[in-house]
Amino acid sequence: MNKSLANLLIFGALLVVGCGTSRDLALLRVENALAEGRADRARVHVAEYLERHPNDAEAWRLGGEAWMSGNLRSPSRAVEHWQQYLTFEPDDQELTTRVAEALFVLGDFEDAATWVARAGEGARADLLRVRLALDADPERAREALERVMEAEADGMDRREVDALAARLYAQLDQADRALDHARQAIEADPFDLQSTYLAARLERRGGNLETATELLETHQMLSRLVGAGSTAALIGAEAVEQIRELAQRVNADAVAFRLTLVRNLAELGERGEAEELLTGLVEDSELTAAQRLELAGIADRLDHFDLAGAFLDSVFMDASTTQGNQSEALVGLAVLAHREGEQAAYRDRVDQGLVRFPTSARFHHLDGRIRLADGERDAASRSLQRALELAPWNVDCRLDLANVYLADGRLDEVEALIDAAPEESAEIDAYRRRHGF
Amino acid sequence: MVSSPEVSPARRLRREHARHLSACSFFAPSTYLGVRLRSLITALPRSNVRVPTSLRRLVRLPGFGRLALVVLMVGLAIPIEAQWFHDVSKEVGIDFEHDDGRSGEKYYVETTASGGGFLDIDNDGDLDLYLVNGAPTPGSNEAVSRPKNVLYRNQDGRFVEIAEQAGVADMAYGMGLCSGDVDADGKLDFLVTNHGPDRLYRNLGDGRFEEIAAQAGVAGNAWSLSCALGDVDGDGDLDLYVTHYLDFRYETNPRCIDKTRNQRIYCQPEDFAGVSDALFINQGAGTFREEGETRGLAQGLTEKGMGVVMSDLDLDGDLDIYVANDGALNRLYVNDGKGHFEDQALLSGAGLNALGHAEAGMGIAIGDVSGDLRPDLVISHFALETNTYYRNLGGLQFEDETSRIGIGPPSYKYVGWGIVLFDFDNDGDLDLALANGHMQEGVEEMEPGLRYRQPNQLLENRDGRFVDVSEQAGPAFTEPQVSRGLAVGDWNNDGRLDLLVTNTNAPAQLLENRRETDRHWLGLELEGPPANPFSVGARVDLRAGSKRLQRVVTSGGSFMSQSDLRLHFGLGALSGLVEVEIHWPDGTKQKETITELDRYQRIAKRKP
Repeated sequence: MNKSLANLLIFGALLVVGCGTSRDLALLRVENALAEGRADRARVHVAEYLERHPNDAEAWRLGGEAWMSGNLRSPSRAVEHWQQYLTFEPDDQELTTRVAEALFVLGDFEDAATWVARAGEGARADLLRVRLALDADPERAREALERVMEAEADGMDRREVDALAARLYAQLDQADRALDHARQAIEADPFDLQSTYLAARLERRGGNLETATELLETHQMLSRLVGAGSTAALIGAEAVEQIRELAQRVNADAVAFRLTLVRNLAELGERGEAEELLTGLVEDSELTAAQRLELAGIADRLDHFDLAGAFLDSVFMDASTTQGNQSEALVGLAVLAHREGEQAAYRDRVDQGLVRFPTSARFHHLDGRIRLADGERDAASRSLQRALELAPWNVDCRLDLANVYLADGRLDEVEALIDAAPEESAEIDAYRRRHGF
Repeated sequence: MVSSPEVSPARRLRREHARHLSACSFFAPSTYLGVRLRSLITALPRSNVRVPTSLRRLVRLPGFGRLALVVLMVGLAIPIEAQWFHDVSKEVGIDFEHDDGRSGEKYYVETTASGGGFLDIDNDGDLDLYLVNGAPTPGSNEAVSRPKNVLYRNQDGRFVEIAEQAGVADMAYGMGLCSGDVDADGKLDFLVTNHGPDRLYRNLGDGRFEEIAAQAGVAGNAWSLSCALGDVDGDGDLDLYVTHYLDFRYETNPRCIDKTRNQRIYCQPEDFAGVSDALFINQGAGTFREEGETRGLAQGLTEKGMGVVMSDLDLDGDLDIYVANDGALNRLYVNDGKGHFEDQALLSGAGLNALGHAEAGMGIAIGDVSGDLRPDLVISHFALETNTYYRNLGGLQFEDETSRIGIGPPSYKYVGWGIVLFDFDNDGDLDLALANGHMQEGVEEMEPGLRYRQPNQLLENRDGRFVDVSEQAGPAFTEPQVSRGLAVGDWNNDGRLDLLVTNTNAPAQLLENRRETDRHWLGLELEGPPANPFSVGARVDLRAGSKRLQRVVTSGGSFMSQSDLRLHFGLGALSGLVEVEIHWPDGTKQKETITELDRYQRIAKRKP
């Protein structure tokens, strides 16, 4: 993750709904952990919960999500959880398709096909059918191609349609059509590695050595930039050089290139060009919410608070984006206001967050800090306790609360709080040493 | 194993078939009890019923003892026949057990285990065996475990361990081997790869070997995995390619934790830097010089070489080199005829899979799968990747046709290492065998769909589509193990290709092929020029009726393994004349007509 983004939005990714009961809270912990990328924690929480509540369908669904997330994800465990969920909600087509996807990931193509048939119609199921045809049953490529074309008519993302059609036409030995679609896919998404490679192969087989070589070079440069295989993604000066070259080769105006370039320029401290690019990107409607959030972080790192605010505002005001993105943007806006010394705006943003995202640990944490600064220790303590309840792994929050207790002379509670930290941390250790716990 | 809403028809069929086979095996003895024993005894040597060699010897006992033993033999033999491959290791005297010397510190070197191979070290026409072993790692109990490499000499169907007397009982942390005559004295030498200095064993011809790696200049001090010998510079003698995996050292062993279980696990290849491979050019007089960089080998930290084969992939008369890298672009080093190479993996299509992804390349099988007289490649890969089939289209063009031949789905859950293309049923096309096994103990808890112990696989080529026939092949292919090395060879010279499997911390297995068939076959032993008497790198194109077959004499290959240097052709029902065209390693060709089938024949290179 970009460092500045982490600084600005460190606890931002909290997608939460509902509140109140212990059941809700337990599941919200799972959701929070998932939203913060802590799949391991989410698995622990959900397992604990399911031991006590084995008939809670939603918990089984979330458990599946937890097992499909993170570095050590386990599609089969996800399938086990989702199968349990489907015993309660047998008509959930979305989850049925997800079971099929997980089986597909596991290479269990036969079972995946059975489940996708069970899922019925729908864009995702169709997409999966195409992938099954490509990887498991090439004899069905023609049928799959028809599905892709139907999906396009139904509004499937054009990029996805072109990329899949290219592969299917190649499978059917219709090189010209395959190449046309691959080219269109690359035009729409210059970072489409698969289509770039396929186009190179088709050009090479067509005898166009020079074009093939050029495409392969592009593919290799892109692979390095995104860190394909065991190669770490390039960053810094070398990356900048390659991005410039790639942008010239493919499409200099493509958002993907400008975004990657600004990321690397900021990393290198090349403020001038980075700021210019950032300014140009503010109005770009092609940017996704995630990209805009990242750009906000970059702008913040370059001390361009106005630009950072503009990116965050655009996410927060975007009704079509997820609650998670909006929550993240609002946290960013609050922190930004605080950094610019606009205390009233800071409080306003936090209050707004507490109303709109009442179970987001981050807003309670910020509220606790505000109240602490105002000398309202009891209120601060309550806010921090609530934040910690929602995010027990949050070390900063734990230490903030410990400091409140410490200031009140509640040493036993400080010790209990520190001992209850769910995992080892250098900050907790330092705190113990500093205060003799 | 995950459940599905309903069992698919194909799966149901497989299960039913397995049950049927199992039932046949169980009831077969009683079915045959009424058969006249005497006629059975006399029929045995001629029939296609295969009986283990040790049991055959019992037939020679006199009188009632013989009768009783034959009853026992028949009872044992019939159910065995239902299995195509039978582990005969114990009955023929192979008691080797691999030991990776683990201490609990999760040293990454333990994950690759060790290979083995078939070598006719005494040139007596039957195959001997060499098996490579691990070594104690720091912190392990050396007093309990001092593993060493072993050499088994094949003496009339019984293997006798002679490593100590032969001087090849190496105790370094061993990996694999490859063979060839490196000093042009007509005797088969071999190189053993290690974590640390490699060993080059020069065959003295009297049952003993001299270890000459350091003086020959090939010892090195890297972590070597696979190797291959071949004449890459066209001077007649054999040069050597050694894959170097990655920079693992005991003293800087990283600590990797599975946080979900809070358990230490083996790290990943990404946690280590790669190491450039080595190309040793034979200088004559038993010495080599490493010239990888100057001859065009890729250098750098991304090279994590695992498997290697040398073969004339573009059919231009010289040996090219294909290297499977772990998680990085594979390499296809195209020879300019003088031993200088240009990597054309990317441009040829053999470096990345159809999606343009670099996969975790492990072992390499080479052979003409498509029947167009061009050598194709099949690469084994990690779990949740497919094994990948690169079809050779000619003109240095390869196409990933994995899905077309059906080897993708059966490979997805397995970590494939050793891999061989061989015609186990003598029907003329190449089938595929795989040695599987995960490298992470406890992977079941991290990903229940995967297993640490995994069954090996036999895939039969049926009109160009590969079908998993592991269940018919027998327990050797259904019982889960942690296998690594895989070599093919006809250990008992019966015309049916057998397999050697090496397993992590477990006995090696000699799997005897007992597939019933009345199909014909032909074995060729090529006698090359003095500098390369075993004709390493030679290619033979066979034409018989409408059949077009191709086989290549390959040093190394698979994963850290050495297969039989003789060539085997299954010929199906064919019984007429067979024409072979031999492409000798020096680029010359020789045509021969063969009239007698179902035997091994030696063909010497004609003098110009």
